[in-house]
Order: sequence, then C-alpha cells, then structure tokens
Amino acid sequence: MTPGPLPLAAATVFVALLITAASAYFARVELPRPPIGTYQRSDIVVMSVILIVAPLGYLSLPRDVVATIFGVVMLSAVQLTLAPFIGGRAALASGVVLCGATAAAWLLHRPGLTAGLNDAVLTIAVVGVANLWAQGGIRAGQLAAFAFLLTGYDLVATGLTTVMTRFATEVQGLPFAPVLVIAQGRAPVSIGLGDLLMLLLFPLTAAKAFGRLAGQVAAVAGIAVTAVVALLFWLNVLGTTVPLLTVLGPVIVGQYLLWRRLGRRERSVLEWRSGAPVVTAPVDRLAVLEAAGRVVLDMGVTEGTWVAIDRDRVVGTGPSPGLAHRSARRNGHGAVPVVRQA
Amino acid sequence: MFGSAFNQMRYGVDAVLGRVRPEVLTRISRDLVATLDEFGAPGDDSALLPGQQGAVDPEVRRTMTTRSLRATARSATRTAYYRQLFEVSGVRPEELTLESWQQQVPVTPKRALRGMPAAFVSPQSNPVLMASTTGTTGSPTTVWFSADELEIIVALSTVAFGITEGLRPRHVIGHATSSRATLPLLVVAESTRRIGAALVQLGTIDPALALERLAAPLNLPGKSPQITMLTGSASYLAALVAAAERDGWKAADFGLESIQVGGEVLTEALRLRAQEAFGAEVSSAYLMTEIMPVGAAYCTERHLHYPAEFGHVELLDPQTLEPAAPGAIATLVITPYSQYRRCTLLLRYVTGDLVRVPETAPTCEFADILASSDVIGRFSGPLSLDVPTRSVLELLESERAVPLPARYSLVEDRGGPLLHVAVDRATPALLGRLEDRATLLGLPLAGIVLHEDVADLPTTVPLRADLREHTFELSARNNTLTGSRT
Repeated sequence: MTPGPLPLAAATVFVALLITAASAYFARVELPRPPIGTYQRSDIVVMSVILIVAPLGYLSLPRDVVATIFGVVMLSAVQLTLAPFIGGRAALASGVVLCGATAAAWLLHRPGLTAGLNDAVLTIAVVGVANLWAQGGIRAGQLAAFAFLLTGYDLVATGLTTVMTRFATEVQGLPFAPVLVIAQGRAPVSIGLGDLLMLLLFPLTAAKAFGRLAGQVAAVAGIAVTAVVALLFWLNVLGTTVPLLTVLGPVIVGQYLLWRRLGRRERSVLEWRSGAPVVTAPVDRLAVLEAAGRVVLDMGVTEGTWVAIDRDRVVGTGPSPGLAHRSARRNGHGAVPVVRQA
Repeated sequence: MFGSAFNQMRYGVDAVLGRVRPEVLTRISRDLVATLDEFGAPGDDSALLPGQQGAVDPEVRRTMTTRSLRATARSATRTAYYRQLFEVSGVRPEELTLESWQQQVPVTPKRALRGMPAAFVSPQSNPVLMASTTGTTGSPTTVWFSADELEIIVALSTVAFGITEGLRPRHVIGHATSSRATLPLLVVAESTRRIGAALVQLGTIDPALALERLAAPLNLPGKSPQITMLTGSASYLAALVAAAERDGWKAADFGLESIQVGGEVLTEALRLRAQEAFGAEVSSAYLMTEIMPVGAAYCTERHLHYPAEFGHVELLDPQTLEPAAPGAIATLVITPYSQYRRCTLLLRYVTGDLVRVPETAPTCEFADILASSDVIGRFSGPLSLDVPTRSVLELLESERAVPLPARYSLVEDRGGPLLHVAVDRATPALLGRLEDRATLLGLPLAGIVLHEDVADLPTTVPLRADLREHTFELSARNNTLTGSRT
C-alpha cells in the first residue's frame, strides 16, 4: 500500500530538523575524545566490515539478544550526547530512564509507545554519534569513500538480496531497533539508522572540511534526496524498500569531488575550530625571496656583508644574518626581514 | 582510531607482561603526531599515555613495581657484573620483594659502571651506540644502547616533545649541547623529525656566535621566522645570558618561545635572567644518560616527580645509603626496568644527584607519585651536603657583577667552608653584597674570597659550557687567519 503524503512529508521535515539539531550541536558542543587517534583508512575498512557482517550476525541471533546489544549501544550514545549539557551521571541516569521505558513499553506489548520512545532514543543517539565522528576528525574524503562503499553494499544487501529486508523484518517492533519509524500500520514510513547517520554526518563533515557553505549545500542536498525519494513513493514509482544510500552515496561523493575541483583543501579540526579560511591565498615565498635577491645594494656595502631586506629596501647590515637582523631592529624595523649576503 | 586504541592496549598489556615492543611505542608516537596535526592537542586523559604521570592505584603500583624489579633483576643475572654479585650476596630474583630489594640488592656505584661498562651489558643484546656522559665529575661514564632501546627512547621523547614541550611542525629547535653528546643529539634530531619540526644543531660554540644564530632570520616555508626553542645545559645558558647582556642584545632580537635546560642545576636566579634576556619561558626536567628513559618532571609546586612506569627510584642518604628521612638530603638511586632497557642493565644505580626529601607528603596534582625537591647538586663529600651547589649558584647568579657562568671553588677551612669566587672586579661593595645575601640564604660559609683571575681559584668546577666547539667564523671575521692549507 502506498504511504500517504503526510507521513512522507513528515519524514522529510524530520530529517531537516535532525540535520539542524546536529549542526547546532556541532557548533556549540565539544565532545570529549581519546588522548590520541585520528581516522585512518583502516578505520573505514573496519567500519565497512562491521556494517556488512553485523546484519548477518544479528539474523543468526535470538531477538532478545539483538535487542540487548542495541540497547547497550543506544544507552552509551544517549549518555554521550547528553553529557555535555547535564553532566555524565545525569546523562547516564537519563539514558537509563529513557532506554528502560522503551524496554518496558516493549515488555508491556505497547508497540506504538515502543516506537515513539525508540524514535526519541534514536534521535538523541544519532545526533551524538554524527558529532562524535565529525568532531573526531573524519575527513570528507574518508566519508565520501565510506559512502561509496555503502552505496555498493546497500545496492547488494537491499536491492539485490534479501539481507536487509530480512533484517528489517527481524528487528521490526523490537526496542532499540536501528530504524526511525515515522508511520506504522499497513503503509509504514521509516528511515534506517545508517541512512540517517550519513544524512547528518556529511553536512557536519563538509562544514568542517570546506566551510559553512559546503555544510549548507550538503544539508540541502540530503533533505532534497529524502524529499525526492518520498515523492517517488507517493507517486508509486517506488513501491518497496529503497536503499536510500544508493542515491545519497553518489550525491555525497559528487559534492566531495566538486569542492576538491573548486580548489578547496580539507581543513583539520584544529583549523576548523580556529576559523581558518577554507581558501587561503598562498604566500608567494619565492617572490619575497626573489625580490630580496633583486635589491641593488649600495656601493658602500662590502662583499660578504649580510643585509636585512624588507620588500625592496635594505633595513640593516651586519657581519652575520643575526647581526643584520639586530641592526634592522635597531633601525626601528620590527618585522623579521629577509637576509642575504652581499 | 581503532588502530590507536589497539596500540595503546597492546602497550599496556606488554608493560604488564614485562616486554615492551619498540614498534608499538613508535606507532603510539606516530598516532600522537597525527593527533596533534589534526586537533592541535591530545584529547582527554593524555596522562594515560606513556611517560605522562598517569595516576595508578597504590596497590596496583606496588604489584607492578615488584614484578618489574624481579624481571629486571632476572635480566641482570645475565650480565657479568650482577651474576657475580648475586652469587656472592645470594640474591634470588624470583624471591625479591619491595622490602627485600633494599636489604638484599647492593647499590651500584658509578665507578663500577665507569670502570667496566661491558660488564653491565647483556650478552643477549646487540649494542649499537656508546653514549658517554660529559665527564664533568671526572672521566666520562659510558653506556651502551641497543637499537630497540634507542627506538623506545626516541618514541617516548617524541611523546614528551609533543605533549610536555608543545613542539609543533612550525617550531625550530636550536640544540645547544655538545655535538659529542651523541644520545641527546640523536634523540632530539629524530623526535624533531618525526614531529615535522626543524632542528638547528648549534653545538656549544662561542656564545656570541650562538646568539647571532638564534637571532638570524630563517625565511623558511611553514616555519617560524627564527629559532623558537633552545635546548642546552644551564651553564651554557648562563654563558648566553652573559653574552646577551654584554653585547646589547634585546629579547626582541630573538624569536624564542621556550628554553629547555638539562644536565645541570638551573637556579631561579638564572631562570629569571634568561627570561629577561630572551623573552622566553625557561624550564628544566631531570634526565640522565645512564638511567634513560627514567626521568622526572615538575609539578605546579616545583616538586620533582618520578613516574613509576620506567624505573624504580629510591631516595637514600648519600653517606649511609639507607632511606633518607623526611626533610633530609638524599641521593637518587635508580633502577631502569628491563622492559625499556635491555642492553646495559643497572640495578640501584647511585646517580650522585642530590635532592631533598619533602618534609610532608605533597598535596600537588601528582601527590601519589614519588616526589623530591629540585636537584640541589651532586654528592662529592660532606661539603656538598653542607653547602649544596644550588645554594651557591643562587647566590652568585643573582649578582650581576659576578660573570656568568659563575666560577667558584668551595674549600673546607678551619672556620668552615670558604667560598672562592671569580669576578671581574673584586670590590668591597661586591663582597659585602655577596656576604649579606649568603647570610640571607642561610649558607654556612666561613667567608667569601673574590679573585679577579680565575686561575687563582684553589680548584675549578668543570662546566658543560666549557665543552666549547670551535668554528672559523669569528676568526675569519676578525681577519686573524694567518694562512691556509687549501
């Protein structure tokens, strides 16, 4: 049955709100990080392997065990997200209450309440995890590579095989299921955690790497992808489970390539936090040195003397580079000059 | 991220099992460098990184110390010196406890190592570098290091440079220690390279020339315009301060941000004068060739703290070699653990460096780590305890009429210790100022004698600043070259 326009529009609006929330969190909250460690190529490989193997593993595990594993992961993510606002202990207590209520609703066979609480848990968790990755320094290039791998995987796991469909069926109704449920019933509307994470993560990473504009473009692109897919559902062009990443992945890769083609270099977290410009006019050091080399020296400057030069004039002289610099300073020249020997 | 976590976990497990792999420490140091590039600083809990004074539960530390000491003693039985010593004294490494360690294992005097370095080298190791001390107290002591040890020391040094010293790729180090001091040079050069900073090996050249090099613009891409960090000995720093004050250099002539001093006593007086002359923070740490990588760092209350990670440190009475009482002067007796040292093995090595045991238990941020006062001198007999080097230098280096580095001689006279000082002009006013300040500092001196010629001092104390390296620059500049062989 075709989902109604309202839940489909709600899904798009919800994605937009989540991206806004994640961006606000990104701008205001600094998450803790381990003493050392940066994202490496091996991390992308490990995450991809986990992503591929995990659903297969879950399919072979009892539902209770799967729910418990997801519960522990979600509790950690909720605690991580809330801790900067209310402190570690209060965040843990809030997480326990929220996750406990979700589990209780499931045990009491209240599917609607379970889904609602699960959405609350998932919303908080995904904002925190996306920030953890982005603030942890994942590079836009690494994320684009990850998106590329996931596109292929999603195409196979969701489009060509039944792995994800079976996984979705297996976790349906479970507490802490990695699925954000917008509408239940005969025409359900939901978004998978992986899709949601990439929708939130790329705008943050793009903003960090290439500047605010890149972040805004990524956010709009993510919302547009969600809206287009929703529209296609409503128009009955799509009638079954759609691997969203097969559309989102190429959009992410395309944006990355676009910014690189436009000459933007990736900023580090340090540069992003210090507000370093994304396009830096390269300092033409050669020109500075060449200009110093071209300065014609006074006839009075004997061979072997060191001269301190600022742009096109001699500001000091001495028998060594250091003494020429000191001479420049004594002549009232504060900046460090270029030195050369006559 | 996963790789970094895995390496840290491996290092922790290796340390517990008693076999630290150099390649793991190297990977950790590389991860740190990448972290600094990405974030500008390490993340939370950086105290847990190797050598960063992390807090450890006392009971766990006790267990780890006992285990490490047994392993080190076991390794030492493979050396000629300790095999013989253990046979005579009946030491059984497997049965050692923290208490029996002090009672059963004899201390190792410096002269034993100096007299036969090979007797301390494990036959299972492959020595690749002979490091020598400067020998300011007599003939140099030599210590052999293996390739693994050098890798470990470089990795730990990279971590320390990155975290403690804040070294970043834009920095340029001016290394002003003797170019013959191979180990420090090798370690600084390699750590600097790994961080991506630049190194200028200044050596211990004429201080006037060294100042010119410190002031020289570098005009290099990605680097600060001038040398940003100076490393060297305290006496050479004193010589630089004297030259800067004499030749009219101003702090604005230099781009120095920090000065790191080691190997000799850095007094508060010299620290302040160097800060004034160069406009840079001056700090020091405790390191010693023989006991590397064991060292100590200062807390905010100026205690020296000795992390238990790399070795066991004892504070013993310099004369009886029994545990020193609170408030008393002690000598540092150190055992570097065999997890980090595999070539030259030393048990209870008497460094001769003097410190004071804190009167009361410290309450600083490293309160649970063994602490002492700053190093106050080196043991050379009862006189060095009555009038420690630090006290004399504080007296002399705060007086601007005493040329730096201060030259003095302390001799036992009938009335007590007599301090002979080399000065430019021996005036009654200067003598009066020194005597007043000596009284203020509580120095138990019988008197002070000023000499205008350093050769008149009864004895001279050798300084690292005296390990002068010649260059041709000044002589060429002064046209004093009389001929050439080329």
